[in-house]
This record gives sequence, structure tokens and C-alpha cells, in this order.
Amino acid sequence: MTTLLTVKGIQTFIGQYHILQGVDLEVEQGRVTLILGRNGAGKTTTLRSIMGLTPAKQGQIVFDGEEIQTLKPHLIAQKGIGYVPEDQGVFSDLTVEENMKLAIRKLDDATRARQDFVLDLFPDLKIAWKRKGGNLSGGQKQMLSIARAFVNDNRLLLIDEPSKGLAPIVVEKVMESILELKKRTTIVLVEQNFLMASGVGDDVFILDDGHTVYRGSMADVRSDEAVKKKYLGIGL
Amino acid sequence: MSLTVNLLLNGVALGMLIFLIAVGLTLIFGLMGVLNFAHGAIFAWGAYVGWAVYGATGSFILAILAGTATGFVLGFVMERFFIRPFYGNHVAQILLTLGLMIVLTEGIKIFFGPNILGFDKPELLQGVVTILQDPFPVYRIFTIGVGALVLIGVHYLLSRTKYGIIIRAGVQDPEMVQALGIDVRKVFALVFAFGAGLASFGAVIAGPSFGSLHPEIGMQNQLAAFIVIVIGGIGNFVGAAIGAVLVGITQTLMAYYLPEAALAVNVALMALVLILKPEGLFGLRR
Amino acid sequence: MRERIFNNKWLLAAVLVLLAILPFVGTSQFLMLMLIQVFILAVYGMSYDLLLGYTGIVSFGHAIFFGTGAYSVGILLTKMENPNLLFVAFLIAIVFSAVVALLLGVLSLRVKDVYFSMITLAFAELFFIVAEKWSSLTGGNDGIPYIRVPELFRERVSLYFIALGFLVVMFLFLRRVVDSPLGRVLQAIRENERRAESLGYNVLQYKLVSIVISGMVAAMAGGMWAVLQRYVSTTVFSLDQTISALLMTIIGGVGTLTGAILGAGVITFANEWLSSLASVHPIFERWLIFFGIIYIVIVMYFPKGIIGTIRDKWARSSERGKRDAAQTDQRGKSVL
Repeated sequence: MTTLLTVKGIQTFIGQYHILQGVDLEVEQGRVTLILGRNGAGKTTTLRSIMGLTPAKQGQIVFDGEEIQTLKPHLIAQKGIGYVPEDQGVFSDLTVEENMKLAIRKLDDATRARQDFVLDLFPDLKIAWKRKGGNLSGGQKQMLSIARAFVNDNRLLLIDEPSKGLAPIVVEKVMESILELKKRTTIVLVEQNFLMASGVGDDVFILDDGHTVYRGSMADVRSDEAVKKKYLGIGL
Repeated sequence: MSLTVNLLLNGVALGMLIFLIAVGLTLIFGLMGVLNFAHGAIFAWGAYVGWAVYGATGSFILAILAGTATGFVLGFVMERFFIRPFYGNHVAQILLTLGLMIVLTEGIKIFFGPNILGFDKPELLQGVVTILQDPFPVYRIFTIGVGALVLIGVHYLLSRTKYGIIIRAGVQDPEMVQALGIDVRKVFALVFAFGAGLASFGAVIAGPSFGSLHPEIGMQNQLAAFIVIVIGGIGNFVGAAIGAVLVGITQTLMAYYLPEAALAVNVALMALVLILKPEGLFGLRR
Repeated sequence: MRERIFNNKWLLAAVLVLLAILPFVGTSQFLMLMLIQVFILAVYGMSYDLLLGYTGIVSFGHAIFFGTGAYSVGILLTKMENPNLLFVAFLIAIVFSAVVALLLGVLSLRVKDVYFSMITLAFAELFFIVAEKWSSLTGGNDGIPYIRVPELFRERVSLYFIALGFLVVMFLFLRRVVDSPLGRVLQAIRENERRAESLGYNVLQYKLVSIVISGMVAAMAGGMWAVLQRYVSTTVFSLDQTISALLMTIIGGVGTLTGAILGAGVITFANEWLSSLASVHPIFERWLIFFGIIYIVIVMYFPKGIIGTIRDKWARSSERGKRDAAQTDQRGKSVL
């Protein structure tokens, strides 16, 4: 098993606030790594720091053997990292088709194949192909955002809280699709909803107050009532 | 009847000129949140350089090329050295562009003198044609034609090309565009230079239409463009086009019937839009 | 420590005493006239600083208030035909410009900050045009000549002290405003509008108060200007009038009040000096370009202006012994 992404002791500030105070991650290739933690623990900022959107002041981010913490976001994306933000980042003025067009960096056969695959996975998008992003349902936006991140030859997808604001049945669908995508790429998934995420995760990192406070396998977390209670607020 | 048609055509011609200024302003603002108060000064520089080149070479085409290039280069330099270091700091950007406006306007006075200069129409475009038994200057038709072509061209660029998609996406969420692997800064610089180039292009076309140039020509037209983009909804291309024609027509009608109040009516129009629909007639609420 | 000395009442008092004895030590009439101009423009600059430096509002239509004050006083004094009703004229001018400021604020403060600059610019142009075209009231391009003012306001020395007193009173008043709870809310809005809103402050209302106070003070400065010149022309509504407020505050230092005073001095005297060089080289006729360049440099590299930069420097050099360098890097956020 090879490590695709290593985050070592990153510290990130937003304005004068010290949000990340030492976050460590290790993401293994071909697996789904879960980042769990309470609201405000620094999960979203961690993803944004990896993407270079809120660059880390200190620490190291190594993707596929290369340090990327000083790169601009577009260069990080070009290294092969796809990003699905918390608010999905769907462009409301653009149609689904244009959203996809915008995302595609190089239109070759492999990309076309990936696009076909992801549209088969989310047939909704095919139906809404000419519809504006602003007119999509929450679930459709989530699917479009994931499709956009996957359509390029990205070796890593960062997905931020895909369950947020979606109906349980839609969340189930999204989680199923993540299992499907896992066969083809590596995924870092931020989740607040432990129960939803526990079905797809392989490895788990828990953040609290801007620190990595726990790492282990999914099975470890499931059986560790103390950890669940302390960091995830899941009692009994 | 024919007078109305004539005035309307004049209004559309003026609207097209204002549109050429407004389109750059509105795109730059929508994309980068930068309201460029030096945009009018770039317009003025385009007009003056066009005038000088036209005077020196006698070629209107060369004048247009030189004027447009002036704006493009000025826009590029401005973005690179004055705007870029201050992205996200709107106050500094506004203050800076106003400073650039002062320097560029004074620069015109130094290079070309503070007095009014005559700008003749090229021979080919002089004269009148008869529309509905009324004489109508050929140059107006030329202006409307050029404006319409630019409108179609920009519309095509925005709606059909990848660049257009990037720009429209960038207007909404530049960060996400970047996260998709696109160098937004590069696009910003291009749009800035392109918008400035369009304004100075419009300036060379406008010069002979106004018949004369003076150093304050930039500020006057910039104000009209501001009013247009407030009415049309800031960052909105279609809104700018409709707003420009609207303002052009009211201005022409007022200039004919009540010249004292021409600008007042447009400012009042803007005030009305602000009260009733602050996001502009065609704007999206953000 | 030294920052405190600089901020100290004693320094200001010393400057004040110096200014107060100036007329009695053989100072030329010309220099006194220049200083009177500085005093009046300084008030105008400070009123702008309240908006830009303390509330974070960038208005490009400040001339509206200056011009409204100047025209109101000019017109009223001419119409009333009794120069001793000066106070009445001022009172009406202040009330009128407060109404103008309120209307302008209600119209344009509801939209985002960037629009505000643009809209105020457009409204300033409107006022300029009205002053030019409504000639039955304003005298059009001829302006309002021969404004009759009370004897006290005609005599150079007494006018000098009136203007100086005007500056001192306005400075103390504005100082009071910015140090009051109201002023602190304004500064909170400048720092972070959304946070101020989430703390429960009605941001629009506070901004309106700020623009109304600023407008009234600027109108008084405009009225004083009309009294000094005994003549009002459309230039009081011109863009250059607004630009002069911007230059004074930015060059002197935003958010300091004293910066605007210093800026008024620097600009008035440098303007005079540069214009006098016009015979050396015609480029000096275009003195504004030099200010434009200085202004750009200051916005880019010294965003706190002369006063703010000096203060920072002194504060840092006195702190150096006590704190480590890392901490001094964390400077306070200013408007820029």
C-alpha cells in the first residue's frame, strides 16, 4: 500500500484566527479516508489548505512525493486533486454542460470515458444537461460537483460534507456513488455525520480544535466508545 | 414620426458608444470586484492617441488600432502593477484607480494640451443617407454597426467559448474556478486589458462622432457608463447592453427637448432603479 | 511612550500657541491668507476622514457637501441683504446639507460599498450641473460674486482667528465623535461590517449618522470658504474639490484627523509653490499630477499616510526593547 498524500503538522490562519494548529493526515491510495470531528474542528480548513485556498503557514503537504504547500490552487488542482467544497461550488449561471466543460482540463478519450462513467453513475445529470446550475436540486448539485471533480484524471478527490442539507435517501445515493468512485480513485471525505460516513470509510482521522487527535481504522473507531463520545458527540 | 426615428437612431448610436465603455467596466467589476475609476481616463487616452495617429497618418484604421492598443496596454499595466497586489482590498483598489485617473487625465493635458481638439470624420464615413425621408449621418450608422458587431462578438465570446465560461464562472466564484485548475489571475489580467481595450476602441470610434476631444471626456463618459451598469445590474453583460441603449436614447431625447436636464435625467433614472431594484433591472441578487 | 507624546495634547497646544502668535510677529498678509485657507480646508479634510478613515466609506462626492454649504451661505447672504445674519445663513446651510446627506445616504448606502463611490460620483456631477444650469439661483458660470460678510469676517487678522477657532472647535468636536461609543461602532464597521452587524448594530443607521455629521461639517467648511472668498463658483462642486479632500486625508493619514490637518497644509502650500514654478517649466502648471503620483505611492506603500507612518515608526522603535519583533509585525488594521 502506498501513501498518496501526507499532511504533516500544518498550521493555518484565517485573518488573525489560528484555525489549524497542527494537523496530520496520511492518505493511502485507493481508500476512503474519513476526516471526522465536531463543528469548527478545522475539517473544512484542512481541505482548503490542501487545495491551497487558505494556504498553510507552516507544515508540509506532500502529494505523490511532491511538496505542494506553497503552490497556487490551480497548480495543485493540475497535479491531480479534485475538490468538492461544502457548498458544492456549482456555478448557478452555467448549465450542467458548461459546468462540466469548465472542469475538463483536457478533452481526450480517457476523459470522455470518465465523463460517460460518471454520467451513468448520476443519470440525473444527463436529464438536467442543459439546465442552469442554479435550478438544480441540492442532490443534483452535489452530484454535479462530484462529477466535475472526477471527470479529470484526478488521483485524489477531496469531498467536503456531501451529506449536508440532503435528504437521507439522497445521501445514501451519494455514499453509494462514493463507494463506486473509490474503485477508480482515492478519496478524502470530510463528514460530520458519523453514521452516514461509517459505511464508506476505511481510515479515520479525527480533528479537534485544529489538531489531529486520533487516527485509526474504521473498525477501531466503531468499537471505541470513548473516542466516539469524546470527539464525535455520539453517546451510548 | 421621422424626427422620432432620427432621435431614436441617434440614441442607439450613443448607446452603442456607452456600451463599449460599460462592458469593460461591468465585466471587470463582476469578475474581480474592482470598480475601475480610471476606465474613463483609459477611454480618453485611446481617443487622444487615435486622434494623434489619425492626424499623423491619415488612416482611420491605423488610428483605431493604435487607440485600442493603447487601452489594452494601459489596462494590462494597471492590472499587473496596481490592481493585482490589492486583490480582496476593495478600498485600496478604488482609491488607487482614482489616483490613476488623476495621473492619466493630467498626463493627457501634458501631452496633448488642455484645450479642445477637433476630431474629423474619415472621408469615407462623412455625408448623410436618407432614412424615411430624413437625412441621417453615415457615421452614426457606422457607429451602430460597429457597436452591434462588438455586442455580438462579446456575446459570442461569453456564451460559446471556454473563455466565456471561465469569465461567467469567475464572476460568481473565482475561488472555485481556481480549484478546478484554472489560473484565474491570468484570466483577470486578460479581461482587464480586454475591457480597457474595448473602451479605448470605443473612444476612437466616438471621437469623430463627438467631433472634438477634451481632457475631461473620459470622466463624462465614465459617468454615463456607471449609470448604465447600475441600471443594468453590475457584472451583467446583457444588462449593460440594454442599459446603454436606454441611457443613450434618454440622453439624446433630453438633449433635444431639454438639454439642461440630459444628465440629470440619467442620474434620476439611476436613483429610481436604486430605490426600486438596487441590484439593477437585470441584476441577480447576491 | 513617544506615540503618546505625538498624540499628546501638549504638542497640539504648542502648535496652537505658535499659530496664535503668528499674526503678531510680522507675518505677511499672504501667508495669513494661506493659513486661513489651510484651516478651512483642514475642517473639510477632517469631515472626509470621518467617512473614509473612521467609517470606511469611500465617497467620491464629498464636494456635494462643501458646495452645498458654500452655495447656501453665498445665496442666503446675498438674498438676505444683511451680512449680520451670517449665523442664520450657516444654520440653514447646515440643516440643508444634513438633509442632502441623509437623502444621499439613504439612496446609496443600501447598496454595496463599491457602488457607493460610483453613485456619489454621479450625484456630485449632478450637483455640479445644477449649479451651472440653474443660473437664476446660482449665477451659473458667473457664480455668486460680491458676497457681503460682516466686518469681522473681512478683516484679515480677525478672520484668521475665526478660522483658527473654527478649526479647533471642529477638531475637538470630531475627536469627541470618534472617541465616543458612536465612533467606536463606526470603527467596528470599518474593520468588519458583517461582524458589527452580527453584534446587533444597525450598520446602515450608523453609516447614515456618520455621513450626516460629515456632511454638516463639510458644509460649514464650504460656508467658511464662501465667506473667505466672498465669491462662490461651480468649482466648489467640481471633482477636483472631492479629490482635494481625498488627497488631504490620504497624504496626511487616514483615520487620524490630525492627518487631514497636516494634509491640508501640505497640499495648500505645495500647490502654491508648484504653481509658482510654472514659469520655470510648464509641467508645473499640472501640479495635480505630482499629487496624483504621491497619492498613489502612499496608497500602495504607506497606507497610513504621513501621520500614521510616523506614529507606527515611533511606536515600533519604543516598543522594540520590550517586545520581540514577531509581535510588532502584528500591526493594527487600518482602512486600507
